[in-house]
Amino acid sequence: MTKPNVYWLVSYPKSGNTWCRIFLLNYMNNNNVPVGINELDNIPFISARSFIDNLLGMDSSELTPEEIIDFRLEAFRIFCEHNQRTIIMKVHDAFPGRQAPGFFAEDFTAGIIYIVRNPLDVAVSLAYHLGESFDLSIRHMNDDNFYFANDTRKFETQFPQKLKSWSGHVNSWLKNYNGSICLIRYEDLLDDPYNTFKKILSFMKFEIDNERLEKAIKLSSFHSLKEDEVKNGFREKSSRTDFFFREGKAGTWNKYLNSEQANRIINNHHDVMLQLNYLNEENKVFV
Amino acid sequence: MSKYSYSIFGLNVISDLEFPELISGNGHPYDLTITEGSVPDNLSSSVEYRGNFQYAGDEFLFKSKNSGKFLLRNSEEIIFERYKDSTYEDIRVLLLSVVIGIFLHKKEKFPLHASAVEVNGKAILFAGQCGIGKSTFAAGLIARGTELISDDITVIEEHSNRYFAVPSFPQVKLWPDSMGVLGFDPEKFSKLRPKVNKRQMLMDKITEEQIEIDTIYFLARNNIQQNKIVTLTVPQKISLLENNTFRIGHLKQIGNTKKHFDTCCELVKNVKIKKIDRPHGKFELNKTIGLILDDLKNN
Repeated sequence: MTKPNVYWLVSYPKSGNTWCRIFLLNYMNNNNVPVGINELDNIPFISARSFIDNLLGMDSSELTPEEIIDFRLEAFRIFCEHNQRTIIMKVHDAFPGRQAPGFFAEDFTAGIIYIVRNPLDVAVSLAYHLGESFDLSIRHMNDDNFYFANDTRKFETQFPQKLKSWSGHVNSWLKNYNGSICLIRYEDLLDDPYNTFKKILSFMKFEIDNERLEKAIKLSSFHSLKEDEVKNGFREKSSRTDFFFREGKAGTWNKYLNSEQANRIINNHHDVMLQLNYLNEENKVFV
Repeated sequence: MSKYSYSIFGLNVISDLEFPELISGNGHPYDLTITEGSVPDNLSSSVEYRGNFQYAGDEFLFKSKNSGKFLLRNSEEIIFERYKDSTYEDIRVLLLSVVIGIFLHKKEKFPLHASAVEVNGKAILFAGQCGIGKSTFAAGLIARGTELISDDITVIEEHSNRYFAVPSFPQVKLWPDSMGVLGFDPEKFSKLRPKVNKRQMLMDKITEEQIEIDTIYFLARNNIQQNKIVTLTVPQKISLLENNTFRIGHLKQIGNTKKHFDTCCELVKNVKIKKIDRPHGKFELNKTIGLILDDLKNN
């Protein structure tokens, strides 16, 4: 059996996952220059087709969905066996359930870092990312059956990922997953990056070096990421948008969503928003 | 059981399984025998595992949980066992991609992950990773009257320092959206496998002979606005050839890495190798084909 050595960086899309990856790599590298946004392979994305194809030395695009499940798990097992160090992986999937945890089985998993962001801001960011209207991104976030990368008419560079609705995603991890979880709010990363990133490092049992932590935060600034993207492009950017790193702020949904659109999100995700301090008892949005 | 005789990548094959996509062969001597039979779950001795693959001396085993098992033995025989819920299409596709790739390395062939067409008597290859457009560009040129040499895997052979693309079989595999770009209705073409939406486009013909290679174009996406043909340094060319060798990940276990590297170095000296950078998110088939035809004319 493989020793559990995988930390999963989990989030609904557009919730700060890439930023956390970049921070962690800057912290681990401990260099004076930032890690390039196109050099994130040391925290691989579990749904990237190339990650699995390279591990197995084959082309998964001609496999059936059932074969892909089997091959991906086998490939990941090889990856874990060959990496005795701590592995950090990026994930967008909802937790598939305790009956069939797949990659998130305790054989592999040391812990989950779950990053959550105000769904009102996610709706705006998701719309830009997918090149779609706010109404459509809100519909996606309210859809319990929503998948990412599930278009069978074309070659997808990612495997299909079942996200569920925004609340469904949060609950799948915070309620249904029974292992160790570190909950991180995107807004806290912005407000208090030092203590919030420190919380992630402590959860992963990394040695904390204050100077190194401050340097990694600086090297992972929104300005630095944006500059890198403008100069070099970002290979993880969706083809339907101009930039992946767009605003990097919290609470700007007000500029984009009308009250009817905002209410559609609040009404659908009221309980989870309340639980995560995005709403107060009077339905007032905090950020 | 009837036996079928085929020719693929210049090799003679005799098979229990019918492959409607392959072209009939010339008969003896056979380089490869394909039979249906019982395949063990594991190889017996000195096994190296890699997920669904096992290697042991002259034997190679590939298992696909839902489709079947394949045993390649002595570089001359493939035995397959089909699981009851799978179809012969499933077996054919896995055999003609995963297993044949390993077989070609065992025979010390040079299979490039590329599609090849004959343009003005010379072979033009489009190489690159999955989904980058190799088959679409080949099909786009075929629609302009050129002839297919091979799709997806192109075996390169050397004769007196001249390098040739070897014909495979008259089929191009395309995703429905690429068929749309080419002006075809995907509904009129059969699926590659019952549960895989990629389509199988059978061609009327394929080149009969090996065709000397003029240029290998590596297809790439980049952060640019316009398609661009890029010249490469020698190390870049060697690296692209190595990284885009079909099933390169298995070469260490099954093939001759030294010979493979030497062939890459020789190819670089004798064949034009360029890169086509294309912007993310745009296909622009006609524009890119125009660019390629101009490039061929000017060089």
